Amino acid sequence: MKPEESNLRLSGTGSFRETALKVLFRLPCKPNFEYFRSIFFPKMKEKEIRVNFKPQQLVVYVEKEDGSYGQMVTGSYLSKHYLDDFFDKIRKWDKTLKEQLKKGEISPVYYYLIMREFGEGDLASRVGISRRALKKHFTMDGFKQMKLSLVKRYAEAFDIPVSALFHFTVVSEKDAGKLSVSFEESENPYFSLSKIELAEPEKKD
Amino acid sequence: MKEINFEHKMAAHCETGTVKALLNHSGLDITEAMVFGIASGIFFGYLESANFPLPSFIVRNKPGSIRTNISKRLGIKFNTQKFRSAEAGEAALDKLINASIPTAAQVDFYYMEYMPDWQRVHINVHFVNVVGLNEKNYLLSDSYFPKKSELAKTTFTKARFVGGYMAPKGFIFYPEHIPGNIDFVPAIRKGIKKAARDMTRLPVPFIGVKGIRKFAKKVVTWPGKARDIDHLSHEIMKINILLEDQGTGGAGFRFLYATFLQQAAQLLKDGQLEGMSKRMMAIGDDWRNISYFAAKIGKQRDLGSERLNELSEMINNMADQEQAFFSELYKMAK
Repeated sequence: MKPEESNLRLSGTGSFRETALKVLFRLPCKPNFEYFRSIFFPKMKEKEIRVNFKPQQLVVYVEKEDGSYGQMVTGSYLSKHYLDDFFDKIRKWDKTLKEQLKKGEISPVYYYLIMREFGEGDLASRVGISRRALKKHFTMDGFKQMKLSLVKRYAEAFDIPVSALFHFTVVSEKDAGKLSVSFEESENPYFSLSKIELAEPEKKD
Repeated sequence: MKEINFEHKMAAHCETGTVKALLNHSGLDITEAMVFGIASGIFFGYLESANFPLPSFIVRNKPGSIRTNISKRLGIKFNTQKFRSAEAGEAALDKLINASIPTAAQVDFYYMEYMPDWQRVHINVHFVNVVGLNEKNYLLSDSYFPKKSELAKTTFTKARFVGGYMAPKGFIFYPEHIPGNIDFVPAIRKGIKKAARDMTRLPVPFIGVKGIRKFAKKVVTWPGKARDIDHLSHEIMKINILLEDQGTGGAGFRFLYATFLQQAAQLLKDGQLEGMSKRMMAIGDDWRNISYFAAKIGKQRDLGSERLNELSEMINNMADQEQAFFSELYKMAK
């Protein structure tokens, strides 16, 4: 919808005199601090919030130069400034949980629950079991009692091959970045192929 | 590739963006902000549920209600379909695309492989428009991505038929009938009234302004629910994601709602409503301050009780502001 032109438009920009006139003639029923502050200190200006981060673009609504509000495509502020911290946490969790897995303290179900950030109720519903049954599968005692068909349902919920619930393929530190590991499904849902290939060099913009 | 002539545009939010794009394609000139406002999209709810790793909050109304409210208030008829089997769901979608009908689908966001990895989480209420297909792929117009993207049919069908909380069940929809000469004025008034009512008058302790207060009260208890300091940091930083990055247009939809109020004020020639849009923008600025604060203390692991109390106070302040704002808006819409 193209809003009709109206001479009632209030602009967030302009001279002090213009702003003062607007305040005088456009008072809301109950004038308050937020109202006055919003007129004198509008903050969400287009040019002030633009973030240069190509990998994650999003739409935000801002105040344009002419005082109208509308959308602007910009980069994600959070990803630009905090993504490194996010990856650090993920790496730390991955390492800690894998250590616990190797010692048999947790099950692969628990590992993927945390790494995929599932809520317990959501995951139980995806697998088609109760939350109580799900919790039993967090330990190796519970995990090893599962039927293979149930393991397959977990694998589907985690979007991984069944075999990934029984082992991890690890690339040594010296080859990190040089090799990539991927899975290839087969017609047999219980059988998949691990493909280890030379990684493609990263493209530079 | 069979491709429907469909204009792709990014939007702040997936459901409003999808509905807006379909309506635009069918000849109705309407903005995303207007869709959001008429559908009473603005909301707040604090949720403690086993479906989330830790308590969470929502800043918009129930998924699906953007379409249903728009349909009710503008008299637009949507054809909607759900399916029991993935085969039937895929066949129905293919038939529509082959008939050149762009169709919206509800999916699990995790499977949208064209999005950056770090963004892809399991949320069953993502909406995309399907605008083309060939034997192997669908062509998608996703409001969160700068251009149309291809996705393998097997992956897309998986995303439509996953189980879990709010499972999509293959849900698809498209506009079937749009009346001529729609009168937006009563629709805008109803949209505002319902939103203001939901925010201030529902007798539910975790919804609307009461929900914001509950969030303020409970956020200081999060350390007891987190696995460790890194997990707590992650959940606190998610406040920023939920308010800014997860398709809200900034400040938990408050900037989008301010835009709606401004467009509504111009249409209704209502100076008072224009003033309210500025107030909403200012409220949005304060929500944004909370986002930045949460991200900062999260990254610095500065998550002691003093900092969390500070965060709680900032959130409580938002409850005060929104109580005053939506009470006044409710009176104006009555």
